Amino acid sequence: MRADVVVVGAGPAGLATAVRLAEAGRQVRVIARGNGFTHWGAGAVDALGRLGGERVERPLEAVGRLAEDHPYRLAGEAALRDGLDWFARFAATAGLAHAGDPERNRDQVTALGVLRPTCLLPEPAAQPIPKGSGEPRGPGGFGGPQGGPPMGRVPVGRGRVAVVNFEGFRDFSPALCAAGLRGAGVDAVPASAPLPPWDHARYFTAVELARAIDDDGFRRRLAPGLARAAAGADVVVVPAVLGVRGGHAPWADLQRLVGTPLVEAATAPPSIPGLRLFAAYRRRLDALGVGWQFGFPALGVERDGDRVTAVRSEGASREIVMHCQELVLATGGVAGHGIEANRDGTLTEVVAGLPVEGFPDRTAFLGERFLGEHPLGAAGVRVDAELRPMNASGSPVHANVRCVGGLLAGHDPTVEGSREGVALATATRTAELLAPTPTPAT
Amino acid sequence: MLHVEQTADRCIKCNVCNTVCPVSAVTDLFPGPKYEGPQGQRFRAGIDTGDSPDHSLDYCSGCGLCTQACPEGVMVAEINQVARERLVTARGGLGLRDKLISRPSLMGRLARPVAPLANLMMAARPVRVAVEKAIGVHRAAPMPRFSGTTFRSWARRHRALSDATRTVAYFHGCAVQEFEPEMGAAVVRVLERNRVRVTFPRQACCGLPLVSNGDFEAGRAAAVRLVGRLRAAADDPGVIVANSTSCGMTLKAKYRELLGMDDAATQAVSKAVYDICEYLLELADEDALDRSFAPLRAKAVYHPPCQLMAHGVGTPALDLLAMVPGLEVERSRAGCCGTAGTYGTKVEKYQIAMDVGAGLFEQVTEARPDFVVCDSETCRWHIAKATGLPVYHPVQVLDRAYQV
Repeated sequence: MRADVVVVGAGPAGLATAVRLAEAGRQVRVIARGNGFTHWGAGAVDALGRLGGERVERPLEAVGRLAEDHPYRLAGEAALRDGLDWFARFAATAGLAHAGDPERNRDQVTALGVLRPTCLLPEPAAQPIPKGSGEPRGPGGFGGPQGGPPMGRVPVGRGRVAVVNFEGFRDFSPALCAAGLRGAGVDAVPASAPLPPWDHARYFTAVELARAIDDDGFRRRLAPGLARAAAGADVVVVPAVLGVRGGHAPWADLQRLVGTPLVEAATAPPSIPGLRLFAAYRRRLDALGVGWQFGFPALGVERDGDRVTAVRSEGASREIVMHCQELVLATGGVAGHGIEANRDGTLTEVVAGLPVEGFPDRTAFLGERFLGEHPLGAAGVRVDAELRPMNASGSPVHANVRCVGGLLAGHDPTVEGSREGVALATATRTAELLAPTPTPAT
Repeated sequence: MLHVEQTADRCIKCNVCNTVCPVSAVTDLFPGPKYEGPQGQRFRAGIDTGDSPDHSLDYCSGCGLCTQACPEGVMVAEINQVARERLVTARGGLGLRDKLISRPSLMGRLARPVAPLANLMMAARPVRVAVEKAIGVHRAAPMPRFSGTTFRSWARRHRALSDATRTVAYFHGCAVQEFEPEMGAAVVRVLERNRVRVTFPRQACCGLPLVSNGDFEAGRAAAVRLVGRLRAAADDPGVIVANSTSCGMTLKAKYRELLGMDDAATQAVSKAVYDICEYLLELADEDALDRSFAPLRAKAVYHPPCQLMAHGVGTPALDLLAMVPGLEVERSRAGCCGTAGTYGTKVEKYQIAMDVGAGLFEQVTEARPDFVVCDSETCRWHIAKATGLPVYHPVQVLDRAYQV
């Protein structure tokens, strides 16, 4: 087997890199051990949400305050801007329009009722949640300081938020979400909407429900109950399950039927917004003629001097050797299996055995609080300004290997809220480096 | 290497497998791979009753998309296959229908002397209704046409290439032998066009239908027999090509994973097997493939079978078809066409198979291709029946482009 560029990994970084390189005219293959972070994430594009324990309001401005070995500093602010801009266009073309810009973070509501800072939000999650003053509601509701702008012809009041679950959906608790929102100063009340009779009443997760909501008829039967549950509210927060195959169209249609702005809250995996995005990426890869194979991890590389000449991946009965000119590793950090943590505290980069700084012993992997910061989360491969892995003395290990996304050292994507931004910035930088004279996609 | 069932421990309950399951997407008779596979496994491990906690796992089609999607390395589909075997054993073995449909070579041998009559009968609606009522093969499920002559009788008359630069053994399997000898002839022509001599080692059914229906004992007997027959070819010529993606997948991986066959002979045979398109693409990589294809002014939809994706070699057919000038190829967005071998022929599962394939059939309707291309025979029969279009193996398209 042979490819011009092999991208290993199909999370936010691998998918974006593969599409950008193929758009620039390179012949690309994607191999991945399985689906990636799209299916697990909150479904938004984080650029930089937290820095030094503080919430970041202006991500682009904050990039300058990052350490010099942070992926943003290596890829450059322009790559971040361009990456986000490219993504917004790509997503909108695929029927997944996003709102936001890197100048100012927005709030994404989660199933826990937390308003997490993020940069770009898919339209169904983009309506601002009005924050009240905490005073009693007067007749007709009251407007908070961040009341949302009118959306189309949907009448937008200001102030009262109904948090509505669909009966029987176990991954979302409206009481929990509303309690969280009230803690954040939002006038939120929990409610529940009945599901019309359907085939999956016995067992269902977000994906079965989202597929049902793809159907016009189901939406029409669902809307009256949802409208009743939302009565009197100015904004309705629902779990992110409003259709999966039809892009954002099912959300827009249901919102019209209900007559109140609907805001999708991020829920537990599987992430429906992530599935929508993954489908869009895969359609694009198919259209660009990019071959892909899931389910078989990359196992190693073949080298000639300082160049990697091939990637070896698992096959059904023997290793598959894929020859390549360039290799892009988008395998993620420890959680993505790009890096393996060993019992003696050392860390191993799994595909090319790239140098990764380990720990004196494995007790040093973790912080004290389960949901706190863990040193292991920031572990990764150190790269130079051209995203090539470096050895201890700071020179590139391989001339034709680039690392992108969560695999990179110098950042903790979970703690700082930078996963998709780093993915897009490093994908963009890689495309600049490997396809310097882009030919327009046809 | 972990035993299939032990991989359940890697499950982090993320539900990614449930998002790709084509069966649970269309019916709640199957609650999804996560429930059945890693979650159900907890209740099976250590239970020596031989029974399974949940009989709905019989609705798993075995397409394997869950295993490919799992980011953690859980062999979800294989866990279900192993559990099904215990279910079938607890029921006292396969029923008559499943015994019959899992023995394609026996059916072929029985029907061959009366092939025209058998084909006529299998095309007659009253006969199909009677067959459905008697044994449970759905009346509308596509049936392959029995061939009056076998592939091996063609091969015996075939004069081997004299000026070959390399040699491969051909595992044609039951479908080519009994139903589609012309498919096998196309494989031989395309290989010989590229100066590859083809040998025809004695062979037999790979046992996949038995394994997927849950009769591992009979499946293992078939496997042991076939490994014995192909063992010599694994050493010389060292390459065994197969055009059936499901049989090829079985030879490559399922003897080891499902039947626990890890002996040297099985390993040697497994490692020697190549999917035909995988092999042709290797030739192309070595600049040994004749690329002088004549233009085919046509549009095709290419559907990579779920069982091809279990080879881990990507979609070599797409690269090969791209070498044919004038041929416009659109890739199928479906992970599975629905039929998954014998699954879609069963009266209780036929509609599920049609519903699973609906997305593919819609894509085909919208694309308005001249034909569909697909590597697996049961998928081809299913897609042809559902769309009314001709469906070819990629090698048949290459063969055509060499002939024009």
